[in-house]
Order: sequence, then C-alpha cells, then structure tokens
Amino acid sequence: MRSLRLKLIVGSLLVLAAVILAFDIFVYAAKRHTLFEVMDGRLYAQTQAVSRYVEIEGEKPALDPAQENAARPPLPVIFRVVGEGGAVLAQSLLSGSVPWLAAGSGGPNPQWRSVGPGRGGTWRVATWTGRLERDAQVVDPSASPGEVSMSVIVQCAEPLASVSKELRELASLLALVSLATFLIAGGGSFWLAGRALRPIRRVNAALETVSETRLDQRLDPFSFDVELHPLITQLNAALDRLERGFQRERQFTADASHELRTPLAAILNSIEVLLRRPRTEEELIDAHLDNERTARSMQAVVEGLLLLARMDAGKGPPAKENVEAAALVEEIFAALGFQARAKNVRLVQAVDPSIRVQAAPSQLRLALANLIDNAVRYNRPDGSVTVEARQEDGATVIEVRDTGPGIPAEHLPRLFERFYRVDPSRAETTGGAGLGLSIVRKIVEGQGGHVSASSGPEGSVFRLVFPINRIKIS
Amino acid sequence: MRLLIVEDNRALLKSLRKGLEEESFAVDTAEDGEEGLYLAGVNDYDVVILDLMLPKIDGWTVLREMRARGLSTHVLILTARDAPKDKVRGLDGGADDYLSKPFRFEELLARVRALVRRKYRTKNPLLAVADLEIDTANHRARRSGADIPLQPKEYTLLEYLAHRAGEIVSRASIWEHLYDWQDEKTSNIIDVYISRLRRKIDRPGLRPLFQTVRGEGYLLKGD
Repeated sequence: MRSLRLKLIVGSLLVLAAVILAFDIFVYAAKRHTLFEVMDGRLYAQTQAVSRYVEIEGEKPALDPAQENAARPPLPVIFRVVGEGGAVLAQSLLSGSVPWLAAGSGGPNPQWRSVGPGRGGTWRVATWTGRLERDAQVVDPSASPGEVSMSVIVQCAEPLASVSKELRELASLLALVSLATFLIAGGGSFWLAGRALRPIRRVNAALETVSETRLDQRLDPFSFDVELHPLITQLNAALDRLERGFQRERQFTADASHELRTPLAAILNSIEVLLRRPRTEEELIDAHLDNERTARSMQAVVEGLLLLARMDAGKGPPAKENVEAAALVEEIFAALGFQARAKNVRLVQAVDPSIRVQAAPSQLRLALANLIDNAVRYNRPDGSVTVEARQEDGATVIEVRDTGPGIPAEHLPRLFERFYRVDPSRAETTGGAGLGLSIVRKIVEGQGGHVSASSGPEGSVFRLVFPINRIKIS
Repeated sequence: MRLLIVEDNRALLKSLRKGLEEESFAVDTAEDGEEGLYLAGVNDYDVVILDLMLPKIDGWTVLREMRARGLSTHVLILTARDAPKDKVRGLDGGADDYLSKPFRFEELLARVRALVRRKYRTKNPLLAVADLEIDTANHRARRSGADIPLQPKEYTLLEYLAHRAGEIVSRASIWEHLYDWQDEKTSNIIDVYISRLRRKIDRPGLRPLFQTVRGEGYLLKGD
C-alpha cells in the first residue's frame, strides 16, 4: 500500500540513520586516532629512553643498564635493541611474549605498527633506528657521521588491550545512544508526519460534505495552509466542472422526460377518455389520428435520443471518405423537395462541384439534411434556402442559409444543446424533437469539424467547418 | 363547474377537454402561460389545471402571478416533472394539488372533484339539501330515496346550487360556472334548466326546495 505517512517516516528515518551513523563513525575514528597518538608518543619516548643506555662496547653496541641514574629516564618494561644484521643485542625480561617485527631499515623513522596477535593479544610496536658513534651515545641518524658509526634499532612495545577495551566501550555507548536517538526521532517523525498530513484529512473531511445533492459547496482556500491553495483551487475547479456536468445531465433528463411523458400522457389520456363510454366511428378515427400524430412525435424524440446515445457511447464514426459535396446536397434537396414546394421555398445549390469533404457519407448526409430541413421548416413562405461550399484557410466550409425570421442573439450560444428550443411554443406546430441541432453538432465534432450559427434580420446561417487533412489530399 | 386547462400539448389538451366536458364540466383552454394567466384573471374558475413547462410564461410564474393578484382559484399542477423538489416547489408556490404525467384520467377527475368540494367547503361528496341527496362522485341525485334522472347540464346546475345551498345565486354566476366562453347560448337557457330541475325535484306533494328571488337569482334551500 502506498502511504504518504509511511514514506515520510521511512524517508526521514533513513536520513536520520545516515546522519547518526556518520556521527558514530567520526567519533569512533577520532577517539581511536587520539588513543593511538597518545600510545605512539609514549612508545617513541620509550625508544629514546632506551637509546640513552646504548653504547659501543668494542665493535658492537651494548646496553648498559647500570648507567641508570637520575640523569636518564627509567628503562621501559618491554623493549629490545637490535643491531645491524638483525641480531638482538639486548631485550627486557618481558619482551619474550611480544611478536616482534623484523626491524628493517628504510621507511619512515620512527615507525609504529600493530602486530599480533601474540601472547596477551595485539601489540603496538614502535621502531626507531639510530646511529652509534664510538664513545658516544646514540645520535640521530641525521647527524654527521663520526669515526666509527653503526646503526642500532630500538623497539618498544605495549599491548593494545587497553585501547581496544576503551574503543569497545565507546562503540557500545555510541550504539546505545544512537539507538535511543533513532527511536525517539522515529516517534517524532511518526507524529510529525501525522501532523503534516492533517491538512489532507481536513480537505478530505471538507470534501465529504460535498455530495451530489450539495454540489454547490466549495472549499475556502484561506482556511487551509498556503501550500494547499493550488490543490484547493483545482478541487474547486473540478467541482465546478462536475456541478455543470450534473446540471446538464439533470436538465437533459428533465427535458427528455418532459418530451416523452407529455405525449405519452396525451396518448394514454385520449385512450382512457375514449374507453369511458361507447363511441361513434367518427370519434374513434379522430382519436386514432391524434394518437398517431402524437406517437410519431414521440418516435422522433426516441430515435434522436438513440442516435445521440449511440454516438455518446463513442464507437467512433464510420470510415471517412472523400464525399462530393454538390452531389450530396442535390440528394438531400431531392428528398426535401416536397416540403419545400409545400411552403414554396426555393432550394439553391451553390456548391463548387470540385469540393470534397473528408467525412463519413451517411453522417454528413444526416447532419446536412437536419440543417436543410430546419432551414425549410423555419423559413418564411416564398423564402429560399442556399447551400454553399468552398475551401477556406485549410478547411472545407459548408454554409446553409435561410431567409427565416432569424434567431435572437441570446439563443445562439445554446442553440446546439439537446432539447433547446428558441421558442417552445413552436414545438408543436413545427414538430421538431429539439434534438436535430445537437445531433448535427455531435456528428460534425465527431468528424473533427465544428459547427456554428449566426443570424440577422435577413435570416440565419449555419456553418460547418471541416479541417482538410493535407496528407490524405495529396 | 368551470375549469381552465393551461397546457401546450394540443393532443393532451384536446383529450382532457373532451373527457372533462363529458363529465359535465365547462372547460376553457389556454396553450401558453400568458393566455392562461389572462383567462384565470378574467373568469371565476372552480379549478385551474396548470402545466409547468409552458411557452411565453412558465407555470411557476403563472401561479405566482395569480396568487400575487389575490386570486384564490384552486390550482392543480399537471406536469411531466415528478421530482419531489418540484412537487414541494409547486405546492409551496400556492398550488392546491400536484399530479405528474402520465396520469390516470380517473385520478385527475377525482382530484378535480375534491378541489371543487374544497372550494365550496364541503367534505362530503354526498351533498344533502333536506331530503335531496346529490352524489357528486357519480353525478346522481335522489329525493326521498327515489333516483332523479338528470341531463348532464341539469346535474351540473343542481350540483352548483347545492354547493351554494342557502345562498342566492345570481344568473350570471350560474352562467359563469356552467358554460365556457365559447358557448353561444342565450342567458335564458338557465331559466329553462331551472324550470326543468324544478319539475323533476319539487314534485307535487314534496316540499319545494327551489326559490326564485326576483331580480337577483335562484336559491336552493332545505328549511
């Protein structure tokens, strides 16, 4: 499960663990360094002390413990003196338990090494190489050589046990403190993460009050932390869209139910009234005719709704073809000729014969037929309907103009909405289902085009624009 | 009883009118809110049947305007909108009843009759004037246990007078409640119906219930 709180806690604890570990390593290393430095210093001092006792006796260096006195520092407990060639010239009593290193020349002087483990654990050995001159004590090798000179190596050792013990103690202390810190910080980050996430819970609680029935509720950004303002603004915008969607849906449902229930009520009522008493044949025929007309208008609504529902379900429009606009318009004119003649409306085809539209033929026919049908229906007697098509700015434009009374400007933006009627009182007389233009828009937009309407006192113009797909044209 | 139907669906309007007229109602019709509001203001209807989604002026506005003008006519909303919210809005807006489409004509009729009873402040669908009983649900009249055969208009006149029993009812108000504006009868038709009713109800030997108040109108009175 993805959890923000878990991520925050794990993230902060990982960072904390790294910091604690680095701190522990630093403290440990620093302490170790100091301890070794102190020990090494002491061992070096011991080699210097031992070197005071070394003299040349005959041709060989020798140690003269008898010369121990106040002028010289006391001899250390564990040491040995090695001559040239590696021969041990002198060593202290306890030096047998030390795993001495072969004292080689070269390398830094003095040098310190940890060796072992021998008896009593690991040892720290300091090796110092000096030079002897006859009748002289060991001098620094950097001094100028005298008459007789030879190298002598002084080694001192101490067991590392005390240092190891101190370091072990330090390590356990550090581990304990680190663990405690880690636990306390873990609890703290758990609490902080919870606190940091509290605004999210508040947003959630606020959103819970917004339901489908109370979609007008909005969150007040200023009651939240400033970091959440963009989120709240976005949420409110999403709620706005949702509310508009629900409103459209409600309006559509209400309209659809009105459009179907009213004629249904008319048919049912007509039948019920008819059945209340014996009827003459004349009355029966009259009622049947009424009911048929009403049922036909219901059929138009139902078919329009089905068509829209199928397009809404979005299986995608049928395959596009290069449709010859002029031929299509002729075809529609032929089908609508009767209605046009009945109203004495002239149908004018002003389409460039070369114009082709990239669209599914059946869909384009339905859209154009709807527009031309409207243009005839809402025209004045003796008016005209003109269909024009042309290429314009990389698009194919088809225009259907009528000479009707025009559409008031305030209706134009909503004209293509489902069940929207400019004048509801004309619904009965013109017989439209109020879905024609929404079907036109659905089709045209499904073909990648768009539809618009403009209107003036001389009539209305419906304009279909289909962008030309250049690749296919070439 | 005179009704006004405001409904923009002509087919429904036609069958409603037919059905109601066959039930002896005088029916006026309007196809849009403007006309409906005008008629409701001009005539004294017993019940107005009002659609909500109307051209020109919607039903809500018609209702609000009627109430604002102090009209107390009973209004039954007959609409395709069946959401509880709409019913509440309709009833709170001053409607007396609410019926959603599609509906049963029977039910509409019963609701209209109930509204008529309410108008005349009678709870009992059986109106009684002395020993005259009028069954408003079935449009029947009996006197002293004997059925009285009545023509629809005769029945309507009798019911109207019975609703207003004890009051002097003017010829004009009878006219207004019995006929819609399209009827081209002369006003003495009412005298004709009254005399027919008298003959059928105030039979010889029974106590006369009908009285003519000269210059004012008629009176149906039990005691």
